[in-house]
Amino acid sequence: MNDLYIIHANSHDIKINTTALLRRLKISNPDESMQQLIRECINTVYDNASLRAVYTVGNIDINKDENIIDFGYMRLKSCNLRVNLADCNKAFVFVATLGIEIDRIIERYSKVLQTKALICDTVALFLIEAFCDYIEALLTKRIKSKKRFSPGYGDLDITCQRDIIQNLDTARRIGVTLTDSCMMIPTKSVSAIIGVKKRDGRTKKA
Amino acid sequence: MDVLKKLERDFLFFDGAMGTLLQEKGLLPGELPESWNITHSEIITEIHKAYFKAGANVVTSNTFGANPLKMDDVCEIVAKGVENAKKAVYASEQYVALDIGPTGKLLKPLGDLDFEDAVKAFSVPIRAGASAGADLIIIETMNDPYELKAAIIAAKENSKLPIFATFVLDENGKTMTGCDIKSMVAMLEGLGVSALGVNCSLGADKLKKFIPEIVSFSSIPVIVNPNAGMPIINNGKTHFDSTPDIFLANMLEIAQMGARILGGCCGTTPEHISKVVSALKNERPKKVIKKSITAVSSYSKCCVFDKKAVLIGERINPTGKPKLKAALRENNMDYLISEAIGQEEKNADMLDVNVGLPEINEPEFLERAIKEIQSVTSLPLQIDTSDTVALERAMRIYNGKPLVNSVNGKEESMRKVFPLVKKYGGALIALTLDENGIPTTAKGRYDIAEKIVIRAEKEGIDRKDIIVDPLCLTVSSDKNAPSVTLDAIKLIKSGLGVKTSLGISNVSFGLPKRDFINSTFFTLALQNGLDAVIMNPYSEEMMKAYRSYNALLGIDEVCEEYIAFASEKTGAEVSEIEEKMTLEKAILKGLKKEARDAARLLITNTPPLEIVNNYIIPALDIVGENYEKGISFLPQLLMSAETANIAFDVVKEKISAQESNKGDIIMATVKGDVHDIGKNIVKVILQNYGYRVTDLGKDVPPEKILEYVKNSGIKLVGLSALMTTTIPSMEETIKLLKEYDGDIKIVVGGAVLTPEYAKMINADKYAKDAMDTVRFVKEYYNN
Repeated sequence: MNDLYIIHANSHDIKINTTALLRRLKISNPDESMQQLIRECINTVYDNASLRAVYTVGNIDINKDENIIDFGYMRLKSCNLRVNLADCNKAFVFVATLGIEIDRIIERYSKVLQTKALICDTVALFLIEAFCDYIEALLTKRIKSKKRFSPGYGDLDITCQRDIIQNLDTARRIGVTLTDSCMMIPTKSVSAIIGVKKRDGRTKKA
Repeated sequence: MDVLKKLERDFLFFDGAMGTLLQEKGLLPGELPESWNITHSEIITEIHKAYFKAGANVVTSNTFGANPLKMDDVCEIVAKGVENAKKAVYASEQYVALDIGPTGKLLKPLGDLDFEDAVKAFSVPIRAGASAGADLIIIETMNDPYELKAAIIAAKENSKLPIFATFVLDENGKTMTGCDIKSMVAMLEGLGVSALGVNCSLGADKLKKFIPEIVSFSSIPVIVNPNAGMPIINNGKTHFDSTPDIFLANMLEIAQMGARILGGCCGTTPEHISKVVSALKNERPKKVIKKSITAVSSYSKCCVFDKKAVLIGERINPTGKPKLKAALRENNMDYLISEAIGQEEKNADMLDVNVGLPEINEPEFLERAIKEIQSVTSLPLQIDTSDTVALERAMRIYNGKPLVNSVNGKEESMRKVFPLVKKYGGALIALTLDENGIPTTAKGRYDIAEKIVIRAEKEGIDRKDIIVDPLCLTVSSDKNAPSVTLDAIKLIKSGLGVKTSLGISNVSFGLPKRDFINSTFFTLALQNGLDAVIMNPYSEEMMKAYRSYNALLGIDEVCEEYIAFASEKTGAEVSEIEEKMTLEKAILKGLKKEARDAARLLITNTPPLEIVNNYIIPALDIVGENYEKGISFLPQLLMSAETANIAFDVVKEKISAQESNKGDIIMATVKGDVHDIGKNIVKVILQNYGYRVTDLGKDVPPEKILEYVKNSGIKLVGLSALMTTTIPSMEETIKLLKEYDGDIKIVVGGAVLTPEYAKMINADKYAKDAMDTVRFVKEYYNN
């Protein structure tokens, strides 16, 4: 197994785009009470998120005919991922999470204050995406890389998360587990693969 | 000498890492370390031997991941693992610990692993390891107190070996599931483990700052097995930043702090262990001091009975509450949940949970109630039942260390309740009554309390876990009753050194304005040393008395809590003079307080159903219409829905549930799916329109939905699924329901569904959103 590295971040260092958030919630011209509600939800999510990620990096072997990408510790079958990684010889694999407290908050609100549940859920989605952007920027500084690719995109089946979760030892390292239906818990978690392009394939040491 | 005798006298030294050494010996990427128990048994024995030679007293078998949820052939792998370790033993005072690690799955309600399935999974390696001759069990690297509890119960039910338990802390001193040190220690001690502590995650340098808190709270030996620092990468190889010498320096400090069992986790080697053993072999460990701290816990909160009296919310108890009784009979959890959250918001420290009604299946319902309440609040719970079957089920699945209400001086009560506390852990409310009733003197009540305490200690339950309730009788029928109770509090506290609790409100029975009497009696009881009270957190008089008392006695330092409480009161008075608003406008704008006020005003001169049909529904229709036209959006729709529900609550006080019910629907998120925000949104909107929703929750197996359909006779079912991988269980549910009765109509929704998909799996309707569902249900009931 390749080495595993841990990333911690403070949620307050990671910004989300509030205009895009309002757009996603389909709120235009929110009145004062709605604005305050959204601020409250943003604060709740930011104060309770515990941002952690685990990643590994290593060489990959691509079997074009069979659409198999061999990471050494796992083999994934996907045409779309193979195309995404076409000119790569290394790849980062990471899993990032906001932690279980966010699930608890959304669960609680969804039983009594559904508006807050919905807004917190959306804020959390934005925050985990922003955290992934942060990780991607951190890992690919000074190297040429591809945009991250996650299980569930194209034909990369989400059942491959079993391999990723096991190999990245996520339960122990960052508290991310998988249900039998391959859903990550905490639910605000993302797994992704980032290809490193061949010609500038030097990776920065973590 | 057995391992516990050794521990009473000396330090006990554990081994260090196994995985790190196996990689050096050629373990391949993706290969399971445990498989080497069979394929490379001599190498495993050699590593164990190296640790014994380094001076370790205990080696842990190479069985960390051996769990039926992770691999096959668990029994063989575990038995071999223990045998390999036993082969390494060459001298006396060398022991083999059966190593039990986490399952890698998260338990319900947030994950999908059932508590009893976790117990079963842990039972397999425990039985195998115990019969292979392990000397003790170490359950380690645990993040989730609930999983740890499952493992300990499995260990207690399948072996007689001593149990050591360690959990993992992050830099903030909590586990990754948010459990703090005190909660963990309270639960572990309650469960009766022989030693507890921490391992993995951090190096000794970073872990040491948390050790004083563990030692000062725990009455049993403390284990510290840290990593060899943080991992650093050099030429593609991982090293840990602590050299054996730095590790040693930190471990010596940790020993000074009072830890008694020392070893290592990731990255530590025989060299690390050897340094620690050599430095300490002629030293004596610090004495383990027994603490008299009374504490109960949940999965993330610990409630310590200390200077400040503990407020136990009494509202989840059907006695005298027709609405709660109705909710229980209808199997409706929403009412319980809102009572739980409401009391938490009113600053209750704990919640009493009593669901006893003659016509319900109490064991089943209490278990469900505890699970549901723990899914929305982290407050520790007081399990209140006289049904010992219900009590056992509730204590078993409770996440944390519960408070049990109650035991009394009757032989039968003690005989039934004590063994449960011994097995599952918990603190106990002890009522001062026995076969002869309630004594009329303080001394009489003291005597019963003493009998209970002595008997509990005989059964292995420490007196710190007994909280005596000296009972208060009604002042209107006996003028001396309150004084007897107050004297009993003092007597019991000074004579027995235990904590006390009271259900206050009985004192004022039969009198007007009961809160006046209750709050003054509460103050008197506090003055006499009362440690906890079962009360109504909504009672302003009680809260006034409590906040003022704490401020006056210096318990609320700098009067911070009093000031916050008092300013909240002023705020409420000011907002009451705000402009009045019509009910419709309030619903449209989502203004809850205004809606409640408007509904209260209306109900004085308007028939309840008229309010629903002429005010609430029309307002909702406007909101619904605006939503469908894209003028307003889901958040606004929901705000209005929540507001309408508040108005409904006012109306419902005047009409029966039957009258206001426009039709029933059963809703569930299908098996495998643990995400149910969508279903909950649809539910609240349906309730708005007057439909009664029976919510079966999330991750619901098809058979359970069928069973409910059968029992209730309801023929309308809503199913939600969020993931492609759970659509098959939706399909299976539909098939099962349709086979049972072709007339059952099923509406489905969820992120991954489409109208075509819905048709394919034989659903009657695909609803794209909540309003779409409302339309379908309206059509179905033709109203």
